[in-house]
Amino acid sequence: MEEVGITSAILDIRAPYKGILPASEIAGKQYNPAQEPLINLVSPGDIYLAKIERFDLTRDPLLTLKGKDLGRIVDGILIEIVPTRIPRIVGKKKSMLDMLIKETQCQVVPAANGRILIRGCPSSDHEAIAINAIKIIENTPYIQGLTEKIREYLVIEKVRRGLVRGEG
Amino acid sequence: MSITPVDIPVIPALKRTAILNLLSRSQRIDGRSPSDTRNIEISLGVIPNANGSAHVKLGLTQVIAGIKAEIGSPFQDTPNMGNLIVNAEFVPLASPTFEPGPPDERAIELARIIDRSLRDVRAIDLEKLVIIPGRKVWNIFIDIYVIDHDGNLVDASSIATLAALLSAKIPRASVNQDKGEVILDPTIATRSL
Amino acid sequence: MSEEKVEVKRKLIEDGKRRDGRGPEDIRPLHFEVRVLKNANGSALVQYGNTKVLAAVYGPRDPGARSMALPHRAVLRCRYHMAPFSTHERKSPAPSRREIELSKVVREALEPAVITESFPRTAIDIFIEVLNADGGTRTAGITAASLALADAGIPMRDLVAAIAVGKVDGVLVLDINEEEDMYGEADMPMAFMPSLGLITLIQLNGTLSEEEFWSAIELGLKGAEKVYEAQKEALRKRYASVEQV
Repeated sequence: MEEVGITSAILDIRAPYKGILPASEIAGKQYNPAQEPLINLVSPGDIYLAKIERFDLTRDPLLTLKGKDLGRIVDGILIEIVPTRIPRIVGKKKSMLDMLIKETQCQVVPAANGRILIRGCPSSDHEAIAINAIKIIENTPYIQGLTEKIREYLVIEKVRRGLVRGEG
Repeated sequence: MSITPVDIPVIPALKRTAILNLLSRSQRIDGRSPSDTRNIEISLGVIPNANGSAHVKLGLTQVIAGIKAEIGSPFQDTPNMGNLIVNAEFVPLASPTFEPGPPDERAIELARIIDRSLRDVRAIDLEKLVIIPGRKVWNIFIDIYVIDHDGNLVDASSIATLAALLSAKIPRASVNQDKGEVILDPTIATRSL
Repeated sequence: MSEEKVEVKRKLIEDGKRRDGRGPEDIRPLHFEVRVLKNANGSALVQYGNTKVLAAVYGPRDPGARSMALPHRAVLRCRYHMAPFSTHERKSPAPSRREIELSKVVREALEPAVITESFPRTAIDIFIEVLNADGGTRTAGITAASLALADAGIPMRDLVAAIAVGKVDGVLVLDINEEEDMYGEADMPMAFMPSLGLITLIQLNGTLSEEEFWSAIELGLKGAEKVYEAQKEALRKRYASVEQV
């Protein structure tokens, strides 16, 4: 969130355009700006997981928080990769993403603009290997069996860091 | 008038807490320990038209320093000394936060810091830069060009400036008694550091 | 003084060889590299012999001021600037009238290539810094900017390849350097979109006969095609290297 206005907030969505989040999305349909200024409810620097509800080339994209797991993010770490690599992070039929979540025991939420939220990790080491794995995927070109290679990396790292007792 | 910067990109709150958390464990977000410096790369002589030049990469920060020596008149209050003029340009291509225009307060502060670092320790003997006492001296222009800002511009600029100065060559000036100077082929200038 | 000038002029081209040893149709050694900066969305370092130019692109991005935006397309903002140490005599960093004119000329040479309708209400910022000047800085700048735009992933109709043709001692020569520019009879920078067979820039300093003019354009196109190959190679190298991790 970059700026907070009277009836909406402006968010950086890592695109040529800024995202507009209406106050009604944040505070509900009954929200009255006269009663409670929006700035009391939200601040610049806040992070949101949102969907683009509408975008056409005549207006800035309109964001919505209606949906599963959408809303303000209060914990975890946000990293950024090149947006074109996001499909690799997800993989065919979510195979890569599911593997990452299982092996790192973290929640991993990739977004289309290249941002990835990692949260709920059992330890900071788990968080670190999740980040490293994502960086490796970002920098590795298309090869067959990448999912397996990353899985191997994660397993080896977990053993090396003493996160598991001799798994695999 | 100096104003609180308004154009600095908003750091997501999560990133801020992540940085602080890591620091409390003596780690940094790029894996370095608090006392590790980034990789330094120095290339000399990158600008053929300059008397001396250096391109420094400090991690991903990139700075070019160029030295131009010109013959001019001394300043009125120092007739028997050459001059050192340090200028820094934060060119817009180096960062989304750099606007085109004359040097802003950050660039001016950087230039003056580098200037003091050379002047106060007498890194260059300005008296050796005199050609005709009271009339003609060497003016050494040091132009610091920040081309990619990834932090620690002071160190990168300082390294670039010193590298450029140490490798600079200035033509030997001999004096034609009637008026002008005859410039011979470039020779190594003496720099006392 | 004038004696010296005539002497130099006589020797600009002798027995078909120019002072730096090149033939009339030889371009200086070209070194192009893309993605040389971290912050910019796209960047390129371009060298034609000793002329060294750095270009960077930011955008498409928020223009920052409502008045700077167009409703149906992106706005290009271009700045051509020379570093103080880039020329023989130190140049003041403040933009000169020449730099202001060249900023406009360069922007107009690039506008036809960029598909600006893809990003209405945004700005695409192009910054060109001449690091070392030895003739042909605006053409090197256009070539570099075009690479930087491509590196930034901005949709383009074609790359823009630029080169200058000059006339020295009555002979048309390709890719003049500073000396040939200063002492020659004409200097004609040009920019092309080679795949489309279109010209996006012609300027002329000096005099050419009508026949010389058309020959110069042909010579320029030949040169631009070599520049174009070098541009494509630089892009290929950059993106192919990702495949080798």
